[in-house]
Amino acid sequence: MVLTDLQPGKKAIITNLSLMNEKLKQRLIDMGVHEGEEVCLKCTMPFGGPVMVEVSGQCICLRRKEAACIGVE
Amino acid sequence: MSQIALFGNPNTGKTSLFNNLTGSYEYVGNWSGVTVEKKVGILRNQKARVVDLPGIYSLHPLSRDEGVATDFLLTEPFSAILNIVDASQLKRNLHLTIQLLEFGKPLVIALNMIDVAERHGMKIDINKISECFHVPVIPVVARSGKGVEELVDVMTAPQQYEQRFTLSYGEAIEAAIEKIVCCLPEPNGISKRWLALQFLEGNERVCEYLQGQIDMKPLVSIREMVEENIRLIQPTGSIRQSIHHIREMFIADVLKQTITIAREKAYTWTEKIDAIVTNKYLGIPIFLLFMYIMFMLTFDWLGSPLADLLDQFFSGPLTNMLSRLLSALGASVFLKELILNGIVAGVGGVLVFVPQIFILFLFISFLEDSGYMARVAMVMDRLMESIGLNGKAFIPMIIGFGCNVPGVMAARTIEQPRERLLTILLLPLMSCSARLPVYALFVGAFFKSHQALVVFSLYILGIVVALLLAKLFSTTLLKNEHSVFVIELPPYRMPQLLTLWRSTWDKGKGFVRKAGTFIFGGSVAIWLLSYVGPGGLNVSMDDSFLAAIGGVLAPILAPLGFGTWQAGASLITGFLAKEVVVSTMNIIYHAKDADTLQGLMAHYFTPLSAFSFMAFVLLYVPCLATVATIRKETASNKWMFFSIGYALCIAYIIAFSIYEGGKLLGFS
Amino acid sequence: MIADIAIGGLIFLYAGWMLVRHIRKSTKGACASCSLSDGCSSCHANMKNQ
Repeated sequence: MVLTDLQPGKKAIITNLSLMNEKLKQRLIDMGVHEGEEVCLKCTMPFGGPVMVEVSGQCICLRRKEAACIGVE
Repeated sequence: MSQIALFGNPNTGKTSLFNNLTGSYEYVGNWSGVTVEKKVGILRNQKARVVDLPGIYSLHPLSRDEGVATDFLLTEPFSAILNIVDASQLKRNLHLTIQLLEFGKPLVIALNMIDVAERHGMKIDINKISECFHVPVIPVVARSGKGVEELVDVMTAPQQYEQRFTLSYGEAIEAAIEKIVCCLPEPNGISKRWLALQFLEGNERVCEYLQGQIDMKPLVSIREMVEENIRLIQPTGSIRQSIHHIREMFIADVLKQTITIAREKAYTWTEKIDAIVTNKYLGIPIFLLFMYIMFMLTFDWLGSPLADLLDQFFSGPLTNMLSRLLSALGASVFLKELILNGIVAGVGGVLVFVPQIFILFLFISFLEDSGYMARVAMVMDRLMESIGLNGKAFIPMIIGFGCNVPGVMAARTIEQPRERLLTILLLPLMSCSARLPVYALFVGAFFKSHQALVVFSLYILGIVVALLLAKLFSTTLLKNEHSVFVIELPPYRMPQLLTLWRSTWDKGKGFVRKAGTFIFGGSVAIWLLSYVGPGGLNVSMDDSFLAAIGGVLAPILAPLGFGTWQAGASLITGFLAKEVVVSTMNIIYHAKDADTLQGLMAHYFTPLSAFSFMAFVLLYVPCLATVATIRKETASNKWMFFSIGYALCIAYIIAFSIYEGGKLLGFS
Repeated sequence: MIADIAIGGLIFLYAGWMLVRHIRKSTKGACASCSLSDGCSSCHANMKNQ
């Protein structure tokens, strides 16, 4: 399952970041998004726009196609 | 004097703390990437210098502003680090703390936003953190300045605490560190262990730094060996990951000892507001509504009435008083003309628009301080993606509404060099506050009943043209490989009135000061040019040098609806600073006050040609200061000339289509 | 007449100097030409260093 499969407001654990673009992965890890962390999908923007997620109390916004590279459980 | 460097994650309050430490008033805001350049100040007790640096998540720079911080660490001398840590985001912030501790310089932690952490139900044992890292930890509230005095005392205390933090990274990595340390040259204040670690992690800046000093081959082979070893154990692993993991474990351990969760986090009002402003369908309409209210207040509801009062004062009491004073002094006609028709008309003509400018700045400051800025980036990202930019580019654009120069600087936070360049090139199309007086003058004359709407349409025109050109450039000149967009959304904060006022004043002050300095000088020069002609002094305005200069452009401008030498002259002077367009018009038309000027202009402009003129002023060429900043930020003359050239072309095309199209549609 | 020359001279001197200063400052770019930078202590420091 990937992050974008979650229903808004639902939580999951990040399991896989290896599919991501290297630069972006680095940035997300710096921001505290890494494997084993709990993530909550807050909302999605229309027309395939970005998604807003919360990880350890911090809201982060990233594009949907990139969020789709994050494996969760 | 010793130098203290201020490091921390983005948006943790570094600049707020810096302001409190040094008593200065640097620009602060509630989004990541407010500070893009290092700033120096003197500590309050005069014992040291403090350097404020852009926020970083780690010492690996991904964008230009982050590079400033890492470069500082590598190349500049300083005696101690002040690491500001957001208490509500400890887990993430401490990664940077560890990297900074490994650097080996004395370090003090300033623990900010304890109040926020407590609101989230966390209790933090400060002494325990201090024990874990062997460094002083001082709780502060950077916004109000609480705890700052103690911090100053600790930082400048004569007894320097020894820095003795080390974290062990396991056999394989430690062995590699040892080997690398042997290869490194004699230290020049930088810890060898830190260099080795950063190299193993793949920090490009550190690699570049070492490249200049030693042969990199043995180092690279050591790194590859470790990398292979790690992959034998875990196929998807890497050095970077294992180092990160070890730090993560250490931090988790520290947090377990120091933080007690008192209660579950409550549903915060940030979440409640976000449910509305970043709503699927309401997001963009709310942003547009906010902009619309901003313009209504600036023009219709509040700004214009105030500007009218100011105008009455300038044209009535002030002019009379000056004129009587000059008569009493026995001043000649020349001097009287210079002061009344040159300076009062030129400077006063711009100053009357101060109320509008301040209201606009107040709104921009509110946007910056409340935390809405990052949300705007998020709401706009989908649109920006379709034209080859990302949502982050919208932040420099909003700042550009105040002044294009800091907008160009703010583009540093954009990670992709191409996207950054594109943003810089398009930024001058954002209608800055210096263009506001031009609009205010013309809408007052020709669009009395729809002032806000007409100005709003100009701002939108600027944005739309920028977006269309972005699409054009990103598919032709600057093809983008892969665009990324990640942005942190800070919690909302009610802006403090004082901060709001101060940042509004800081921005507005520049405008007032410019009126007293440059606009003053420009007005005198323009008046002189209009007073002197080939035929001698005090010629009729139409025979003056100014008319001759402006007349060169007139035939070129004729298809746009304003082929007069007056329009030509004011556009030329407008290159130096856009407000001067208004000064020039005031002087040329010899108007006593805005009302008569607006009456006079009706002879030279029609509503249609006035709109075409405003569109031309909006687009035609970035002002001198912006041009110079573009050159500096892109480090290229080519792009600088490009930014001037394309702007001129596009302005001509758009103004032409507005005028000719409008005529076809039956407007006049 | 004296007042005339004095005031006129002052105005032209000030105006000329301001024009030159503005153009010099603007062409420097970045911090130096930023119209928000007046309250910015670091910019003054930077400019002094240059």
